[in-house]
Amino acid sequence: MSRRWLWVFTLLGVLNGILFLVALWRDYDREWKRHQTAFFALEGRKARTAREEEAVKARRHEFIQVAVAGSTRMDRCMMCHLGVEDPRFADAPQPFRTHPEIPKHPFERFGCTVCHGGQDMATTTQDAHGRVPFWEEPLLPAEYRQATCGGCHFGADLPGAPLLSRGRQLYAQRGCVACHRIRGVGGALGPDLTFVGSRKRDPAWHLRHFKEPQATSPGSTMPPFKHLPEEELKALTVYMLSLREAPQALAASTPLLASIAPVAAPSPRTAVPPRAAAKETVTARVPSSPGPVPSDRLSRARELYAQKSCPACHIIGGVGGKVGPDLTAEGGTPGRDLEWHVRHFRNPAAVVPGSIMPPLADLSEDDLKALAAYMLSLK
Amino acid sequence: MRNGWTGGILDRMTASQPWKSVFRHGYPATELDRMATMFTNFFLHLLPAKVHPNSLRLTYTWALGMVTFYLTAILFVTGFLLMFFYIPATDWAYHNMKDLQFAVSFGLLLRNMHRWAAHGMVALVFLHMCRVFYTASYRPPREFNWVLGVLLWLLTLGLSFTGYLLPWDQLAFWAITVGTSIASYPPWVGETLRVLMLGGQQVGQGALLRFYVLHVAILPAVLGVLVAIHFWRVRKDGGLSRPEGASPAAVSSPGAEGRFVPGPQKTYALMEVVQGTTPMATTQAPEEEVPAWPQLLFRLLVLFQLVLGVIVLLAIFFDAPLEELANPTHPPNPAKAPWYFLGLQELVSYSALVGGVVVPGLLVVGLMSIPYVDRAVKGEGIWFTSAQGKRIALWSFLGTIPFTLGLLYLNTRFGLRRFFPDATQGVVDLLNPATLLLVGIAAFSIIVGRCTHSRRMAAIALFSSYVSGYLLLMVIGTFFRGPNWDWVWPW
Repeated sequence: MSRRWLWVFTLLGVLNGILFLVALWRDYDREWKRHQTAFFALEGRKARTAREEEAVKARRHEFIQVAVAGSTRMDRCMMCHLGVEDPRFADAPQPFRTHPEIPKHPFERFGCTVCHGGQDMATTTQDAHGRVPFWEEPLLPAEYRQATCGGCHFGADLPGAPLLSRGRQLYAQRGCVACHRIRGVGGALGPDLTFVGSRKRDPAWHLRHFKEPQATSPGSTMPPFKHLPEEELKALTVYMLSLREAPQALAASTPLLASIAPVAAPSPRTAVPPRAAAKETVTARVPSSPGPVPSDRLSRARELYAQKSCPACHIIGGVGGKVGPDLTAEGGTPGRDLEWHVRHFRNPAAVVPGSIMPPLADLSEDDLKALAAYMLSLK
Repeated sequence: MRNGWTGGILDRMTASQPWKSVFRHGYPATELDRMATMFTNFFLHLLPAKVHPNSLRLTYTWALGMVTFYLTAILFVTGFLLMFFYIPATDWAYHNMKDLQFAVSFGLLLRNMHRWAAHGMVALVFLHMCRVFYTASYRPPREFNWVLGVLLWLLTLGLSFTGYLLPWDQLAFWAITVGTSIASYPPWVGETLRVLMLGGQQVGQGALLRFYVLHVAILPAVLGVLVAIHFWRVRKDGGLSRPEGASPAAVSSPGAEGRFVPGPQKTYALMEVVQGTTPMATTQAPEEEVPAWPQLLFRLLVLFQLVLGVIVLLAIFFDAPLEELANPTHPPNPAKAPWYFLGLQELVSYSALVGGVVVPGLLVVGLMSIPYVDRAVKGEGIWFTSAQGKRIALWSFLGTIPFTLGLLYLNTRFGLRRFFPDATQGVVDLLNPATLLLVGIAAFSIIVGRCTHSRRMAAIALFSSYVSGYLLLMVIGTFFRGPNWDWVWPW
């Protein structure tokens, strides 16, 4: 009787022992150790002198990490990417290849993930490259990598990051600034974009959103930018991705960056100050034209014109953006009466096929009529 | 067995004075020696020297209490080791989880073991409670030990809940946010209670530190003391409850030499005799108990191997969940409480008053008062008490399922707010699936009690329906509720 229990006890003991060995093996057999072994072998082949050979033989598996200055990041990428700082590995296969030197960005201070993305503390390829569930910042594809420069280099024209600079330029040129605000500059009609890169990290999302805003953000009133060439959309995406929280201590450590002011207001033609200011400045600049329309209605219409960020896309008397048609002489266009304009405001695409103008659906009948009267007054 | 020079060394070692000062006895070969060892060994003295074969039957206890204890032991050991690697700061807690996974030797294994043992403990404490209820083992003199058991169940939930926050990921953050908001529903004290728990208005550094201290110091200490009293009471209240009647033959023949034969008169140590006002020695017949060594001891050792093996196996093949870093500005939709509170969250979705106050309150008070309501003394130790009890338990359990589903269906199709959008909260609290379910179950158990003229039968009906209803709501909350707490299919 008790012998039977002993046997069961022993059997279970052996099974538990096996489980322990399995756990031990899984704990010991880590991917990074295999990479390090392969690297040491490669290093041995590259050794020229007897002393170098000795040094290679003495190498053991080691845990390597970089505490990124001024952040909680703990980059362990170099546990596998062992050759990044060694010029002898310029032609080595990944993960051992030499990293091109970036002036003023020493790896031991900046680490890797600040620029490349990925999961800082992970020690397996899949986890480290961040393409796993519940990691928000996967490795950034090479074509969008310039985005991370923008996390610290706010306003400078960056010769090393042409795509980013182009994206910033386009942001101002295409009238985005009229509705969106970045670090306190811009309109307030659309969402604040100061940290949009931290919220939406997927480049594909941004590309799709530019082409078809409603597809990714239901209910969005942003006009689609399908007509822009792919190259411009990509540059804009890089700029969007660059708008994110970066370790500020890292940026402040470099005197060059600390002195740079946030994005300055771009050229006066496209700049629309924040909403409150817009009321005064833009309406003040809209040319007044006396006519039969009651003047209080007209002033209300001008207010609306500024509030709804119309100048972002349309020019009146030389003021405004170039996305939509010039409205300076809109009242003179044949075949367009008050009723036509109201219909057009409600659903632009139904009246002018192919129009990307967002509908002004939230305005009352009176307001729409006032705006329409204002349009007709422009001659 | 002990021959050659190794045997000589072993013999000399075990015969030495230092050895004997630690182990007062050698390996006990006779039953008498074994019983003496059970008395004199600190760890073994928690166990009785002799046990009745009927308490040993696996199909009687299913060893649920002991498995729970083993899980507690595993949780203490893995928990202590995890404490070496954990800093309860919002900046570091999530990093520590990543460190456990990627840098610490056996870190992930420890965390997985701790996680699965914790979930297992919540489930097994509950199952143990069901076993004790259905075998009516709460009857005198074990009433107070039942109350202690209910407290231990609450402590287990508290430990699991406080531990849930520590990884500081999205899952932890929002589960605790939802869980603590359920705690804020009781009138007058609710909000104060929530702020007291969180150390602030929302889950943050204050909450993390409080939950940590509760999880690693206060609650385990209270648990340890209560478990000690719980075990002590088991021994002092007459050992494990057991069915009366003949013991199974297989158990009653121990294999060691020097068999202990019960005399015609049982002999008692003084402590056993002085319990009452009169000596009881002469009033009791000799019992056909068997020595706890090996009958109980070997079973316990095998059970431990089994529990440990299952937990390690789970820990090797299934990783504990870890989502993104906690982000207070980005709530998941829906944010769900830990699974064992999802039944409550489901009820709260109908009525905060019922789900947040009435049900938890009734549950605790009702459970604790069971032994004081069903005051019968005889008939313990039999599953469901009788064939009738078994039928009642089965039909209550099964019947509650269509009843609950029917109420939920009616609420979805013909909910009160659908026809009377302006109905006051009081009316909604009165007429919703949660309240109707409670009233239905209560009425049903009263009817059962009237028909059978037995409080025990009424209690079985009530307990079974309650368990069935809560389990069903928990499953619904876990698998069938999606964004905005709307119905979804789990696939």
